[in-house]
Amino acid sequence: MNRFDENEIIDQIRNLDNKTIALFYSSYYPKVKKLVKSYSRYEIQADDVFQESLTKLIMNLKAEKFMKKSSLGTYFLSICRFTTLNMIRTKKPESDISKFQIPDIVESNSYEQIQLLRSVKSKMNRNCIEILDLRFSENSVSLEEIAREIDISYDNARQRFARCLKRLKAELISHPLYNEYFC
Amino acid sequence: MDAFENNIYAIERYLTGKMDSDENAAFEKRLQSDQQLNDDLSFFKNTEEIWKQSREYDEVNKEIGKVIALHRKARRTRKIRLIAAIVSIPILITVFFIVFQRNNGPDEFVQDFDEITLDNPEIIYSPYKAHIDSFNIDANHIVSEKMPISNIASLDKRKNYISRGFVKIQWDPDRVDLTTDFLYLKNKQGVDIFLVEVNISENHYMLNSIDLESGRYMCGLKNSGLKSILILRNH
Repeated sequence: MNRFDENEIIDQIRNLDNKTIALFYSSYYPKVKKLVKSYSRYEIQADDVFQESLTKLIMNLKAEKFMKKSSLGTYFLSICRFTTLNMIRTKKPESDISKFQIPDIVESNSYEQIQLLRSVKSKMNRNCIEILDLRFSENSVSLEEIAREIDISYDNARQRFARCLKRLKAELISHPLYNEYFC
Repeated sequence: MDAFENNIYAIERYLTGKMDSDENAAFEKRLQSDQQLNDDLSFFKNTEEIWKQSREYDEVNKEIGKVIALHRKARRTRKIRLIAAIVSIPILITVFFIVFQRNNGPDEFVQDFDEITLDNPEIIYSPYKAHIDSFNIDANHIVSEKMPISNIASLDKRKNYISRGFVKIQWDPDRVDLTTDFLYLKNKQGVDIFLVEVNISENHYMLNSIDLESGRYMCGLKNSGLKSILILRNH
């Protein structure tokens, strides 16, 4: 990866350039595998860590959170370490990994919230996901439009939205890591 | 509807600008004193933000997953090809030696053939008329002289072998201590074409009505160690 200008790599990764991502994978996957191996007793998969970490890296690059205080590689490996530890904590809350062991090089809280939301979302029914997806889309579709789109009355849409949001809140609050990630 | 659902309904209308000015003012006034409404508003806004990020995260994650899967597949294919190449090397070597051995026959035959080639003891056939030379068999494996004979062997053009020819094979009786021996003719693969017991004192043997394809053959006396090469080919 050093052969290329780092700014160029950053641009290409941010734009999800397939070749650069493949090259990045070849360069860093063995290191990630080694890192994850040191936590082998927690049954964390290197493939998952790599994919999640690269997603976070791209999200951070898009949001211009990477301040170039270190090289891109070092930054990525920090994200990998952060992701590994978080995966352990999410999968095994009883583990001895404390929050203070997690590096603060990345703004971690939003990812923790995203992961928690994804986890809760996966347990919700399709009707709820559909209405929340529409209401919380980039264009923030109004409940009147949603009602028309899914062919139900406005009152029905309003009630369904409120109930689904209530269910989501209940699921989030009951998660053992909710207070840590959201409060 | 419970309090939360009512609050969400009000928040939804407030955030999307659906309230008239009086309703809006009342809502904002309520926000100053109603902690639950404040909490619900924060929850709504925060959830909306995280939900949007989560969707973007899923899209990026899915795209990366595809790229990595393709890359892994390509790597796996390369790995399989490499393993196949490594595994095939000994197989190819083995096949090469088998073919090489088959094409060249026994070592003895190869050695003799090389020696004979230097002296060019070839019997050359034309498609329809073939001269068959007879060879003296001596201890040095070298044909001592060519002895053209007048016998004509016809060559079957389609099958490319001599169908009714004969070959006279001669040897020097003084070089052989035995009274009888076995005369053999082997093809290039070392397979016996025939084996016949001969009287040494008769000093020759006529191979009659044998079918021989163009190619290289070795003949010799089995127990006496005398041998020579016949090379039959189209002119």
